[in-house]
Amino acid sequence: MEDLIISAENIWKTYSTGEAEVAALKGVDLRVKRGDMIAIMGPSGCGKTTLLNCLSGIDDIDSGSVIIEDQILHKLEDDERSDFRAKNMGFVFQLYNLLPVLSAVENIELPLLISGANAKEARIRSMEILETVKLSDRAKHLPAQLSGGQRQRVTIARALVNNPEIIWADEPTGDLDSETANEIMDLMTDLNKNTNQTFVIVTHSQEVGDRTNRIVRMRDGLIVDDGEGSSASHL
Amino acid sequence: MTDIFGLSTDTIARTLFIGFAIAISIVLVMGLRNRIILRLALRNLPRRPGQTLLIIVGIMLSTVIISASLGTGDTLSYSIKRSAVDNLGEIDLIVTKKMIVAPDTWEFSPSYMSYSEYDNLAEQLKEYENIDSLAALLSENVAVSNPRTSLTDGRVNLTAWQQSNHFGDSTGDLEAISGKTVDYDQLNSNEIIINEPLAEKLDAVKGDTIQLYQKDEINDLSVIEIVKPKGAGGVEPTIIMSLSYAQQVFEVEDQINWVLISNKGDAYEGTELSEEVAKHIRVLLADKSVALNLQTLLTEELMMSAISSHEDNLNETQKEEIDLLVSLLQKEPASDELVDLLSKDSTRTKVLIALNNAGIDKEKVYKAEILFESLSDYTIQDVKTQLLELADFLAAFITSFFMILGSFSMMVGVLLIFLIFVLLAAARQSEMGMTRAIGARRGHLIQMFIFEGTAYSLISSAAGVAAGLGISALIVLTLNNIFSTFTDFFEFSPNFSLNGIIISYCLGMVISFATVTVSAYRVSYLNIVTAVRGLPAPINESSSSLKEIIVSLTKGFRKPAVLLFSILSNLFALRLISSVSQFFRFVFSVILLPQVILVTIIRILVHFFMQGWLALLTGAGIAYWGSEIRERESLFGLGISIAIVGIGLTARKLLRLANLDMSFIDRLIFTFMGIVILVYWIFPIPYEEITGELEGGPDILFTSGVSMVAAAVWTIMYNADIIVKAAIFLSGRSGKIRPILVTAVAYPMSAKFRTGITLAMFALVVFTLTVMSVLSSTFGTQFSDPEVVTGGWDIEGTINAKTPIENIRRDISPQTLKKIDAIGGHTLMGAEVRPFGNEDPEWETTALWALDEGFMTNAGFDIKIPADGYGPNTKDIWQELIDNPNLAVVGGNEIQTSETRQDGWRKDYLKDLYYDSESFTPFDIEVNANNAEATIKLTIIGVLDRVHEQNGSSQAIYTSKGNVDNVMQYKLPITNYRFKLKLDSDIQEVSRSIQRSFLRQGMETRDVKKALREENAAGETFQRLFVAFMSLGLLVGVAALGVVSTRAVVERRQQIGVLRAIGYKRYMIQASFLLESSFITLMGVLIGLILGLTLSYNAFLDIREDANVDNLIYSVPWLQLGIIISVTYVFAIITTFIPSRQAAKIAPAEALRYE
Repeated sequence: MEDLIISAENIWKTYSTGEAEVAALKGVDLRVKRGDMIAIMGPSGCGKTTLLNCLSGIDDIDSGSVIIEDQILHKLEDDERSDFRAKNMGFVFQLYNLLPVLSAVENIELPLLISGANAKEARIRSMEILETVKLSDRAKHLPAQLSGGQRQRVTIARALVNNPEIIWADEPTGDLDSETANEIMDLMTDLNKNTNQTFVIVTHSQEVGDRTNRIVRMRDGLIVDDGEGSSASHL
Repeated sequence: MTDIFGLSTDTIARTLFIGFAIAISIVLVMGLRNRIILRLALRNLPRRPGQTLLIIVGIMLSTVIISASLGTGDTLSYSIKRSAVDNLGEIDLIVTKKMIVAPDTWEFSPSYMSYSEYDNLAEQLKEYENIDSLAALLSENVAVSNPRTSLTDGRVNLTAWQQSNHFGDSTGDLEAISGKTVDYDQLNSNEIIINEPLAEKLDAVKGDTIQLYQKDEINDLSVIEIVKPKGAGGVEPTIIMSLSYAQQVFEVEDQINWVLISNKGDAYEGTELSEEVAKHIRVLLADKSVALNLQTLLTEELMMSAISSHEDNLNETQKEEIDLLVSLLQKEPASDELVDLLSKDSTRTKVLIALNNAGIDKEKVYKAEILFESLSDYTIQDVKTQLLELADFLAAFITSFFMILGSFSMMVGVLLIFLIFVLLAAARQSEMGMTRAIGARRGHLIQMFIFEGTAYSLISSAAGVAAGLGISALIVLTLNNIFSTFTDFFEFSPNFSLNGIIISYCLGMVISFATVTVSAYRVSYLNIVTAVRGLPAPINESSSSLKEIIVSLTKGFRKPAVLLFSILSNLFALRLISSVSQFFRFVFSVILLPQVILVTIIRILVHFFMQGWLALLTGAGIAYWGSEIRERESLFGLGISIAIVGIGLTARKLLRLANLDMSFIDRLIFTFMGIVILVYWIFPIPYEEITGELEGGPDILFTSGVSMVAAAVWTIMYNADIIVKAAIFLSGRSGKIRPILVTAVAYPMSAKFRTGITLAMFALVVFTLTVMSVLSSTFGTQFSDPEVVTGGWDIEGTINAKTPIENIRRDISPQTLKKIDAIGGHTLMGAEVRPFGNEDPEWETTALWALDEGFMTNAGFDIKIPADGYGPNTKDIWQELIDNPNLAVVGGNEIQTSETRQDGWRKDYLKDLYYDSESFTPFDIEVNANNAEATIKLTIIGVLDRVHEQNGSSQAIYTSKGNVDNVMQYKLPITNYRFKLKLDSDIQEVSRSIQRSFLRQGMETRDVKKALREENAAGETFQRLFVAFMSLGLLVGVAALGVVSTRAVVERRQQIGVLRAIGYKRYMIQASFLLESSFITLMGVLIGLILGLTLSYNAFLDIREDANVDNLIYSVPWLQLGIIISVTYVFAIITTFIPSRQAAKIAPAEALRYE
């Protein structure tokens, strides 16, 4: 039997723009195996970020079901879902979305503190993760004092600090030059290999897609193609 | 109200309206020239209605304070004037015969005139066109009792007037409490009408028999009606009886003592003629031959030179009067103007003082005095004008007082407007960037903000006026509550004048507009990114080379120079009217020129100031000016504070050359400046050794408050990381609160600018409130203990001087006497005093307390300073006064403290005695009591503690009555009795019993301790009213928090999304926002509280030392402060609650999508 970590069936999501209703997802089905690294690709407005938001539980769905780690996500209350995210998921965004008023290490330890971890242990763990992303010398710097690549590495570190099962990444390299983008993808693929964490990456970039082992293509709120990425072929 | 701060309200209203019209015209012209910018600006208003509303509320605070102050002033003015008119009706002037000392008492009362005198005056005034009517009146003070209720009143006005004359017409009809009109002419002998205040006092009803005591007679009078306290009914307790009967009772057949005059015009307009009418009557009633003699006497050379040189200590009006007198004396004989002037009491006093001071021959001075006396037998009192002027004076005083109290809040309001505009600019940075990108100049951005700000100001000033009037109505309500303690028959009714409304609106608008303009200018230059990120506001890099300064100067003046050239060339070419548009361009340039020049100069000054050296020079200059020229402590302190900033900025400039980390330098310098300024104000160095003594005053509160709060706020903001660490440390090592606290503290501490301003707002207001509350409470402790203040006496009883008591103990019932521990009596009288035995020293007026033995034995009044060889205990001094009637003590209020002495005060007889002296050598004085046949020599052997004098006369000498009796023309009656009881619980019963025993004497008793407690309570209500008014500033702080929180939700939307994504629950987001507001509010409150307590403690030490008041105890009204702080906190949380709920409701996916 397949070790599925994400199982989504017939997801519908409609947005109201005030005057008209726009169907962003029109009955999407998706299954992801534990330890997979998949890319969701497609043109702007095809619904890929919406799919990521619905799968991760940061957005509600109109109908269908999302099961993560045997937990029916959309049946959880808002607070339960928050707890679930804090324990099982990490997020990486295109614009890094670090808290500008906290230093790198403080940003990283935040998910641990939310989970109720001891402050001292949280700091030790965050420093270890910073070491992993090779930024331990920038621990006390504010985000504004870091480069784009460094900020994204801090974001990844924050996503990893809780040892989550799944890491959601929305255009993680969208704001980076190609060299830095490659570095970030190297980091993520290494982590995927070494920790067996599941990565779901939304991206425009074929190069990023090529580094994953499965590419899901979307158009008009539907999955139109579900194939393996080039890195999978290298496996 | 006619004046504020010494300026006529008409002038202020007109000037402000013109200023307002000019400002609006400029904005309109600018708007018409750049319609697209105007449209862009105005469309911002409906974009976010909630934010617009908040901004309007924030901006309107200054207007609210101005409008509330003026509204209260107007109400006071209107109510007092209305009461004057209710009381006097159409009567404007009162003519009486000159005051005489009644033969059976020392009290002054107007003497009677016969009908023929009155008829003669009426005949002479018949043809005078400025008078409507005359009325003859008999007015007396009497003692009455109501046997049915055993209640008495020793001081009742009795009025009676000629039937069918115009008195009733002038004052309005007598109106019964039932509402019907009462016919005065129907009054028979033995029948009276009483007014409501008297009816309440005697608990009298229609049909009661009231007893009136006159000499040895008791007159039984039947109450036929009770009337409302207005017009002829009188406001104070009053009896109205028929004239013939009154004349019979007072044994003054065919005589009256008052002539009432009503000028042409209604009750208000009539007063405009008062001066002219008074002059006419004065001339009419004066003896011209006496005036001629007086003129001859005063025109003698020595006399003239004495009068003309007597200009010291006179104000401008008085000097003008003297100049007029000198010129009239030299003109035609006994002209009407001269007779009028000589008939005035004020002229007589000034001339006699001048003659005495110049050392003119005593006989001549005496002759002049006699001539002045015999010039006229009558006195004319301009009663209504005096009342109306008093109304205006009080209204102006209250308005100024509230405005000064509100000035802190207004300043906080200005800070808020500035903050709002910085936040608006931050919110619109991308729009502004885009607008610039498509070709808009910086000037267009400024205009855009000015248009928007003007629109807000126009709306908020209107709302502010309305809210202010509402608040003034609340103030009036509170004042009515306070006054109800003292009288049931006076009430303030809210009334607002058009001038007041115009002034409030225009002044509020001008303040808002000026702040908006400065803010718009500032934000257009602000590094918006820095402001948004909340990094320290950058201080312009200063250029120091001569070349750079010249370039900066040239650049600054280029614009105005071009403008000026354009104006001049237009002028000289006389092409002004060649085209309309050119004409408008010219007018526009002329209007704009001063503004441009001013802005350029300010920019250059700020540039040099920020380099440090100009700040240092300015500070040193102000300190020098403050200490050497103005001798004011506040100015000196302000100078020192600015100089410290100057030193810091100069050091900062130098340190930058050392290539150190910028943030480190700023932290070091601002911490240094902050701490040094705080140390300066908290631990004042004994600089007076260098500067000499400097004058304090309320302005020190403002200077120290602003300096200390600024210093504390920037010290904290530049060391914010320590506070963040401390807060996080305190939250514990783990738990759900920690992540909430981390974000709640980190955000405000990183946004230094906005947090700093918000902190400053709270801190400034709480600082002032704390200082005010602590000082009021501290001074309250000095006078609040009734046991100490009253010297242990429980009941005070006063009687009518015309019916003295022979032996008080004999006439009190034995049961009551058993309950009384001690009885004391005294008589208070006017007197003159001077040192004994000196050559020709001037007499100075004072009050003389003639005390009986009972009073002195049981005085309980502490002697603060015993003279050498006397005392040393209080009891000993009083015993010495009993044993030797030639001894006396002087009241503490009669003498000055050495710290606060002013030259000229009681200079002759109390020369070297100060309230803070340890002891003094006994000295002799000569006292001339009113109506005494000879002077008395008294030896001063002690100084009475001031605490006992707060209810009595402010300046007095206390001696044994026996000594005074010997020199009086008649037996001096005791008019005031005090009783000490064995048990406090008997006060009411004993009080009533005493009153009953001395009905004939019109004994009126009161529970002195209770009265004092009621006065204290009224004082506390007043104080609470002021505190509440000052707390308006806290509303500004709360509004600021609302603005900041709303803005924060918008700015942090994406970050909220991230937090939610990584596991923050809704309540955590909301709690984080609420905690952030709590943190700012509590920190601001804490800064204000600590600084306020420190400064008030210093002030307390200073005052205690200066005034030498031992029983002054530093007292902090924790409950009051606690309530203020709690209410502020609750409102701050409520204001943040809505934005925080919005933040918590944000769906994470939506927030992350938001840009």
